[in-house]
Amino acid sequence: MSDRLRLLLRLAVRNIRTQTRRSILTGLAMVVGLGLLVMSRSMAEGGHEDWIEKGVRMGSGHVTLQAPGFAARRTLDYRLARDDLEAVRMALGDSSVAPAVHGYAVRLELAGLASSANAAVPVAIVAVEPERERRFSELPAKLVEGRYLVAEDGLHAFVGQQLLERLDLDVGSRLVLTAQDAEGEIAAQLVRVAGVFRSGVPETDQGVVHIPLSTARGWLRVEGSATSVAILLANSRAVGPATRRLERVLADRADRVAVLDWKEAMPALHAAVRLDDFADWVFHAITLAIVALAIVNTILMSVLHRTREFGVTRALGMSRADTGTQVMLEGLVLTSVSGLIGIGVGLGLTWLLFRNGLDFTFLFEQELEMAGVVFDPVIYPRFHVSQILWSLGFVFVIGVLSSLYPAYRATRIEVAEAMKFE
Amino acid sequence: MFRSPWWRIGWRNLGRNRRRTLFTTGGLALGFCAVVVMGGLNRGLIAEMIGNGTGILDGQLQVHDSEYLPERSLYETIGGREGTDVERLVAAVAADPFVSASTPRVFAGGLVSSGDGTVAAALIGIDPAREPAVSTILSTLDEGRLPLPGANELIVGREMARQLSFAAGDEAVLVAPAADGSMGNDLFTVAGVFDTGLAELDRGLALLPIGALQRLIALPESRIHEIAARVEDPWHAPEVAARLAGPIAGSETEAEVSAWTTFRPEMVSYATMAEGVEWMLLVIVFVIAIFGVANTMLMATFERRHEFALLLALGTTPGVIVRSVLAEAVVLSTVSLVAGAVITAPILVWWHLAPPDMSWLYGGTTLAGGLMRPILRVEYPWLMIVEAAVALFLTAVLAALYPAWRSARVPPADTLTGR
Amino acid sequence: MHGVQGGDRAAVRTEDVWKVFEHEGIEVEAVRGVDLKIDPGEFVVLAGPSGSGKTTLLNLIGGLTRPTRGQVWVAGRELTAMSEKELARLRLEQVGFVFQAYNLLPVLTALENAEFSMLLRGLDEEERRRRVEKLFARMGIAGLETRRPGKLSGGQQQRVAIARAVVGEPALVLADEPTANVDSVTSEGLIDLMAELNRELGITFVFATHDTRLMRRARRLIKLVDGAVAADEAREPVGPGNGMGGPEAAAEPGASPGEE
Repeated sequence: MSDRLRLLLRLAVRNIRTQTRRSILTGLAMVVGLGLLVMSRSMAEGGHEDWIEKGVRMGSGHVTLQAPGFAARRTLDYRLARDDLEAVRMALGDSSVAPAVHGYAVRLELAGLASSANAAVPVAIVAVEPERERRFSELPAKLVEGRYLVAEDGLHAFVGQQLLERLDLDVGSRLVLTAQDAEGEIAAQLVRVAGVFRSGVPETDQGVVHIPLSTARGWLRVEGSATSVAILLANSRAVGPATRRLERVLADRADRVAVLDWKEAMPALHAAVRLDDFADWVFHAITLAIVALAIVNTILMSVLHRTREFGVTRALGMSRADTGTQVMLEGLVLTSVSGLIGIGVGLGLTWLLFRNGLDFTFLFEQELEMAGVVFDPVIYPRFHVSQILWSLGFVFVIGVLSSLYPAYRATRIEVAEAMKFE
Repeated sequence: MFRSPWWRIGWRNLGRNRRRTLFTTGGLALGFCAVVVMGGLNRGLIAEMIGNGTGILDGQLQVHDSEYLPERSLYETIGGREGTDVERLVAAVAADPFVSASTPRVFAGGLVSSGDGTVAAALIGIDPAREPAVSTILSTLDEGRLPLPGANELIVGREMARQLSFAAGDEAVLVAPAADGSMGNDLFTVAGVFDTGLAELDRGLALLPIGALQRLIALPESRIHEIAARVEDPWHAPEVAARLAGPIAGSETEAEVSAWTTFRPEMVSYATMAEGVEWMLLVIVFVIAIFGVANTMLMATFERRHEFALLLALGTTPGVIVRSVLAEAVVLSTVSLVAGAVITAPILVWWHLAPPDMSWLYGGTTLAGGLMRPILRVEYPWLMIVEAAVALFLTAVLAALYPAWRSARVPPADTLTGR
Repeated sequence: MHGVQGGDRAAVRTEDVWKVFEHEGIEVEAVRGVDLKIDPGEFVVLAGPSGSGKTTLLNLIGGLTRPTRGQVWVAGRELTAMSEKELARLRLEQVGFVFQAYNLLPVLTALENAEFSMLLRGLDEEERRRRVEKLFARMGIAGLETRRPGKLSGGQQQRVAIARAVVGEPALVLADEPTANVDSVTSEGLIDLMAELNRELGITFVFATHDTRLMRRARRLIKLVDGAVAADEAREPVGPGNGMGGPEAAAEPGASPGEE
């Protein structure tokens, strides 16, 4: 740093420190603004991550592998055959992929009709490997009666509570599942209700039935195959790299196995996350714009009060550029220091107050569903370097934007005018 | 009070440093605008959610047999096994001044097959003539035409049509458990395809004329499951439901009238939460604005300390000084409010009349079961406008309290001589 | 360096300089056709009543204001053709300013104020400290280096301001009413100091003042009336030490650090 810049910086810092009250008031606005930004971003990230994880656990995983065409047609014509599944298992064991994979579930998903003596209801039949599914899906934990499926189960079903009510059945009762088998024939299968779940998502509670994969394979005449493999990763940030690696490993089977990420597989969830993020950013942009206006005002006033001082320094040989730089530095130092404090306070408070979760229960009377996922009313913050970098970026942008005009004004000061009598 | 000279003095003092006034006013006006526009968006979001959630299919008001919910059993038709005088009941519901239309419906579950495959579907029997006045689902038809009353025709969702490779004019086989214990099945013609944007409906719903469905599941014409009705302002629905409950239930049948607030409680819950969020927003924005205003007022009063000292020396009481500074704050907030209104009004009106397409940002999604289209219309948040205006005044006055207090405590002698 | 035509070796030279201000539609001729030549080492006072154009002329010479017409040379360089940046640089290297109201930067210490222009010029710290300390010692304000202006008396502040003006060894020091804000004893001390710096370091001083004490000490007195030169006379300075205030001048009561 040149002596000149150091001098300008010293002037800036000393001016900020001298005008204590003004700096503190301005700084506080910045601290509040940035603190809020950091807090709400970490809570939003935490909320979204939880939301995405719930969504992908309920649904098709962070990444899902299907036969190309299954997503659109959802029939058994588009399924993963025995050798495809073998290739998928190999791929998941590949050293480039395995460390990122937290779990996976092989499923056979099909639309069908569930009927009892009372009613017939369209349902999504999900045939699962019980032990694997228990670790993967959220549904087994939503048990309200009976038990989840176990490996030895045959003609058993795990059914949503509302569906059970509509069919007027109880645990232990029998129901008939009807669907089209691999040959295109309508096939029926009798199963017994082993357990009942309640997820809070109406669509799921009215329309999802889990049965053992082995049962479905025999019933629908698709021995050895499945329609999808849902893969769970550490978090949503890992999706991009993991998708690319899976695509690479499965490249020679691209015509048989398609790799979809959760954004493609669950566009509604992705849209909801984007919408929520957007609203959050708009809100911060506005609060920070208000903060920036307050800072412009403060620095501008400070400049106009010190016209004479700027006249003196100009007379002593400072150039217009020096004067402008001095004011810019004043704004930048003020915003950086208070912004950094704000970031620190925001992170600290979030950690102190909410690391054990922020409970929103008081706001909801009912379970709240959005994009097919029930909100957990307790949100846990999530910290990430990128939030801090974003916040620092904001601090810098506010600093520059709010100092530009005052700095410009300072360079416009006419020395001879400024030096006239006070 | 309003004839007091302090208002005029406050106004002139603001004019002394126009730029400073401009920035402070700008901050407050921006805050006001932000809160009101966000409030409007929030209202729009709620209206969209409720509008779609109730408008696409459900209706704002439903009449069922008291035994029908939640099982939705095929047998629990209005009026029990004997059925009811459908026309009279539909008319009775429509008689309420807030109800703009009502229509009968029959529900069943079954399988829909084409040559290419079979899917399970919810089958709803509707009256093609009356349904459009109650729900919007028929207006989402994007291929073919509506089924003719009584004909063996149906319309299906876009997603189902894709899965079954249906086009208008194709044949479909419907199989459904019937009320007489048999399996009803019949050949139908696909009249058209609808596209609501809601995956659940587009994938799993087929609509057919009420008479055709009754034939398929062996129900006589007098037996229906539901009468759905439209109430223009959804928030009037609970009141209408309460009003209708007496006459409808009293008329021979054991019918039950419920509003959307009962059968879609999650939407009410969301609306309540959204209001809470609006309040948080209001408080946060104006708390931040307080710093800006306090700072400005502090500077402005500091510059005028000689003036205050002089006034005090001339015998003005501190109370008058406090009042004059507060009057300035009130004038400042009035100016800000006017500026805020001037920038906010066009945004609100534009966003209400010509909502922009936000599909670059998000595709369709659902909220509490209601479809959210990427075109979001802002609703006028009247209450929020009043609240924000009050908050703006409070902010300015609160922010001026400390500067006012300081101004009134300027030591006259020292300030006048000390320079 | 610009050409020396018209400038030769003069510290300051003006040629038919005019300055016309416009204030609310009324034109005011503050300086009207001034021709002047000040040689290096001179100790000149511009005198005249308020509004006679002394300050404006000083500002013109210092490059703080541009003339409406005419030319100004400082240390052989013509000012009117210079850019803002060049002017700033010229002020930094060739011109020192002393103002009526001291105008020290309140946020800097006495030492930092004094070394301000050297800092801008990028002199190294050792050199800056050496020069300031030497100067402070000779001006009788040694030991005050770390004080802020608020903690100094008026006389001390003006001494720091004079130190700031001369420490960079400029060709020219312009002082506008340097004694107006101090009492008479302090004022004499300041004048002695500047006379001594003028004599010993050869720094050219140009004052604008109506302080008669300062006028008496001038070796050349230029009287301005209505923006034009009314009289320009060389004279023998009178007063304490005959303008020859030695180191003992710092010891006189008016200049002692303790004054308030």
